[in-house]
Amino acid sequence: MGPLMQATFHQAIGLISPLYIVAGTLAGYLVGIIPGLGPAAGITLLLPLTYYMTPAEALIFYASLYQSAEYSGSITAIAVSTPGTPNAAATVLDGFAMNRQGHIGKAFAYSLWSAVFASLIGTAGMILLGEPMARLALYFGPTEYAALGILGLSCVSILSADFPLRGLLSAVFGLLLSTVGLDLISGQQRFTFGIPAIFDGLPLVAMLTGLFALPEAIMLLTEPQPKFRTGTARGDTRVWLRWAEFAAVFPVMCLGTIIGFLMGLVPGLAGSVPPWISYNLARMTSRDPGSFGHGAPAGLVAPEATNAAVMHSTLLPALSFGIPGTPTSAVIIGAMMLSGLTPGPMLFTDHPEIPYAVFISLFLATAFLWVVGLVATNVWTRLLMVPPQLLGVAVILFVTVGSYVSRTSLFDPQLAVIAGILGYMMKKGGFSAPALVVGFILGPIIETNVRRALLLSGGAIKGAPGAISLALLAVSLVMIAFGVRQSRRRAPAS
Amino acid sequence: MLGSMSEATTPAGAPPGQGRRTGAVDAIWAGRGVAALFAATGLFAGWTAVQGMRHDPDPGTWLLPLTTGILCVALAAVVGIDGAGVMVPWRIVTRRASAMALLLVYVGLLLPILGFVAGSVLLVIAVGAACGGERGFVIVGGLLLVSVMWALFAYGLTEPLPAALWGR
Repeated sequence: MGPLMQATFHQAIGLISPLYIVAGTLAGYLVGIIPGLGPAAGITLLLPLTYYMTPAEALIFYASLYQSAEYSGSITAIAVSTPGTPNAAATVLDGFAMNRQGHIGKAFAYSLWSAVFASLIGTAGMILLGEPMARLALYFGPTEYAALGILGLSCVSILSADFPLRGLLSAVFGLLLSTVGLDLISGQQRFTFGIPAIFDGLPLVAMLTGLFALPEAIMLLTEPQPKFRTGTARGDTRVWLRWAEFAAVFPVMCLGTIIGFLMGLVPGLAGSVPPWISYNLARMTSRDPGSFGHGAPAGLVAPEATNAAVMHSTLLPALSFGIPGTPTSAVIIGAMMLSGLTPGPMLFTDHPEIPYAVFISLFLATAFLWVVGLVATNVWTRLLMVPPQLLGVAVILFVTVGSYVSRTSLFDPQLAVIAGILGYMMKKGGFSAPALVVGFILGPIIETNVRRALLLSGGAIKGAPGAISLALLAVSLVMIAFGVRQSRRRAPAS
Repeated sequence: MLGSMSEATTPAGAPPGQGRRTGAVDAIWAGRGVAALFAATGLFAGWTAVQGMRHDPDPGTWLLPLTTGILCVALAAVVGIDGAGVMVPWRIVTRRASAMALLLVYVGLLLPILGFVAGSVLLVIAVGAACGGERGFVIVGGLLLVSVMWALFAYGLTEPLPAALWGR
C-alpha cells in the first residue's frame, strides 16, 4: 500500500460514523421485512435526512440500509412465504420449507451466515476494484458515457418489467420527464408552463418518493397482506449453525457469492435474476438435487449469498462510472447528487476518502447485521403483525413530510401524490416504475454527453464513434431486440 | 424481475381466477390507460419539440424531447395493441379508486387548507374508519405517528412552520 493510499485510508477511517451504520442497518431491517417496501423505497422515504448529514454520512447510511434491507427480505420469505424484497423470491422455496419442517431458526441462520459471508467478500471486492474501475472510467469520453448510459437504461428497462416492452416504454417516459426544466447547455426552459417550482426540473425527492413508496402505501391500504401470527414459527427458533452445517454449505456459499458479484458488475443484470441462476446452478451441481424445494440448506444459501454479493458489486458502476445498474443504486446516485457529490471517476480522484469510508463502513455494518440477526431476527418477524393500513398511513406521512421539507413547498407533496398514483397504475398495468426512475436519473447524463459529443464533432454526427461506444450500443440493441421478442412470447390474451 | 408481478399476470386482491370470472372493468389495469397517457404526453412533447426546433437558435435543446416523444408514441401504440391484462371486479376497482381519491384530497385540500397536523389527523381517521376490526389500533397508532412527525417537523423546520403545520 503506497503512502497516498495510506493517507486516504486514514482520512476514510476518520469519516466513519458508527451512528449512521447502526441507524442505516436497523432502518434496512425494517424496510426489508415489510413486503413491497424494499431498499429503493426505504432509501427514498429517508432521502430528506440527506439534508442533515455530510455527504460521507449520507452514503454510509444508505449503503448500510441497502445491505441490511437486501438481507432482511429473506426473513419475511422464510417466516410467511412472501419475499420482503423481490430479490428474495428464490429464498421462499427452501426457506419456508425449512420453517414448515420446524427449523425456522436454522433457516434464518443459513440465510444470515450466507449474507454475512457474501457481504464480507463483496466489500473486499469493492475495495479491490473500486479504484481500478474509476481509472478505467477516466478513459471514457462523452460518446462512451452516453453509450454506457443507454446500455444501463436498456438493460434495466428490459429486465425490470414483467413485460419488457412496457419496461422500455417506462424508461423512455422517464427520459422524457427528465427534460422538464432548464436545459443545462442552452439555458432554455422546456415544458415548465411558467410554473416556478419546476424551473429546475421535476423535484427528485418528490418523484422518487412518489414513484417508489406511494404505490406500496396504496397497496398496503387496499390489498390483503401476508399475516404472521405468534405461533406460526414452530420448532427450533435459535438462530445458530454448527461448524459442520456451515462447512457443508460453504462451497455453495462461495459459488453464490461469485455469481452475484460478477453479475452485479454489469448494469441491469442485477435484481431478481441472479439469485435464480445461482439457485439453479446449486441444484444442478448438488449430489441430491431432489431435496431442492423441500428444505435443502444449499437451496437457501445459494440465492442468499448471491443477493448479498450483487448488492455490493452493483454499487461499483454507480460510484465509479455514475451509471446505476439497479433502481436502488439509481436512488443512491440521486442521494449523492442531493448531498452535493457527483458520482463517477472524479469521486475517486477528488474525494477518494469518501468511497473508501463507505467500503470500510460496510465491513462494520456487516458485523452489526450479523449481531442483530443473531439476537433479534425472531423479534423482527413480529413487525409482520402490524396492521398493513397503519404501515400505509406511515408511508404516506413520510412521503408528504419528506417531499415537503426538501424545498418547503406544498407543490412537492402534491407532485409526489400524482407520481404515486401514476406509479401505482403502472404497477397494475405491468409497467415498470423502477425503469422510469432510472430513465429519469440517467436522462441528464445521456443528454449532456450526447450533446457534448455533437459539439465536439462540430454539431453533426461525423467520424466513427469509438469501438467501445459501438460495442456498448450494439449490446443495447441486442437487449432491446431480446426484450421485444420476449414481449411477443409473453403477451397474454386479454 | 425487479418490480413485483403486475396485475396483468396476477390480480392482487382477488382470489385466484375470480378476476377473470367476474370481469367488470379492463381499463387502466390492462395497461391501455397508462399507454394512452404516455402516448398523449409523447405526442405533446414531440409537437412542442418540433415547434422549438423551428424557432430556437440551438435545436439541440429539443433533440431528446423529440426523440423520446416519438418513441413514447410508437411504443405506446404497440403496447396498447397487445392488450395484455385481466378483468378486475368493480369492488376492487372502487377500493383502489377511493384510496387514490383520498390521497388527492389529502394533498390537494386538507394540507393546503388545514395544514399538516389537522390534515393528517383526518387522514388517519378516514383510513382507520375503513379498517374494520383493527380500527382502534390503526387510529391510535396513526395519531401517534402524526405526533412523532409533528415533532420531527417542528425540529427540522423553522421558517415555514406555522403555515405548513396549521394551514392558512
